[in-house]
Amino acid sequence: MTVLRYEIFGEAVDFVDCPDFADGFLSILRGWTFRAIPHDPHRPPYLVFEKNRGGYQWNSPWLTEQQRARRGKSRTVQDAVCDFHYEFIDWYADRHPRNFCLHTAAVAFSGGAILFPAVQKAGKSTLTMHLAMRAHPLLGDDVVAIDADTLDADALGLLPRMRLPLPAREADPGYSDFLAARAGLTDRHWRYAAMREDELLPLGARMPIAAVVLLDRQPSGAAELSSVTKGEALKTLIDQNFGIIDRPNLVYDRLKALALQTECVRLRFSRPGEAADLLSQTFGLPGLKSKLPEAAS
Amino acid sequence: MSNRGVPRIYRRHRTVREDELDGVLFLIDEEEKSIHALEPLGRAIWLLLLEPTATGEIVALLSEAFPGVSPGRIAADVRRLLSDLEDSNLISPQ
Repeated sequence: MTVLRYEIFGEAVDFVDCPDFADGFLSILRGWTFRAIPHDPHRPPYLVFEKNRGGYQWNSPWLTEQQRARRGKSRTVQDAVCDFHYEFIDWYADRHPRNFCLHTAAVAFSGGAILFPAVQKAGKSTLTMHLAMRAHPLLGDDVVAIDADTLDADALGLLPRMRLPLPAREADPGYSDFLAARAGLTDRHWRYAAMREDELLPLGARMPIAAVVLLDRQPSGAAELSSVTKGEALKTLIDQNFGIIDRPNLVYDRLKALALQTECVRLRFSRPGEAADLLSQTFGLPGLKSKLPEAAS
Repeated sequence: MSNRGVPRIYRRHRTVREDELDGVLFLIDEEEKSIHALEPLGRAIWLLLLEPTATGEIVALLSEAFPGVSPGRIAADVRRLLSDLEDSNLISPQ
């Protein structure tokens, strides 16, 4: 039995007979400290990933017996990493109790980050990648943390993940090639986009939030921006928060402050490339490298 | 014995923090660790339930207040919103 032990968030994490599983994780993370530490049998691991009888599985303190019994094994590294994807985010949220975690994409523009809160089938990830094609670095395509004190956005350093099959008809002509050049781990349902260093901000990189854009995808029609009430924007932000959930007064007061201090608009669109152009023209390309935030140490 | 036909009367069950922003009424419930956002219809129901009010009366009052919405749609929305508020332990039947 071969055990690779790493320390993440101060906890021991063991990979048992599955160095490929560890490599899979490393491939989807940017800016995370995966510090290899010697195995100490007196220090029990917080998390265990293992491969046995041809399958990958993991065990963690937050799984109930029932969940453990119900879980199947993943046949491939890709399936296993995708399976753990949201657990990673929950783990981050648990270790950052002063951060909200919002189910939203976040992209860098000249005045700061723009949030695109998740709305079912709104094309958030596709739009995000079209913005990346236009030199807007991503803070994340699915989840971003918000510091409850400063209301800055914090990147989680997780590669974007695209649902398969990729949209073909409405996307930019170069979209497929852009993604093909960045193809990362892929399972039956998802493909990670292995963004280049300047295309995805690492874990802990921080930006002020410039705007909240509610997406309204339509089957046809030109892209347009319109105003949205602060009340509707706040409702959306609250609905998408899953970080701090046990302090509703704090959640309300800080997310209200965020809604009041940022521009809130609705983007109606049918073609993500056209929408990305409109956003880029309206909010501006981020400045030169010196304006980008420093990565967290 | 069936309660069919007996008007169901609701009232607020307890006090929670309220705040309004651009027509959306937010109920911030520290006890149940939740936040509810009530848009015009839900907001109107919440205001009516300051006093015990029967479901039928709520539907009638809101049908007058929102003449552009069909009474059937209002009745369905009222039932759904009352059920949500009751499930959240914010209102209770008398």
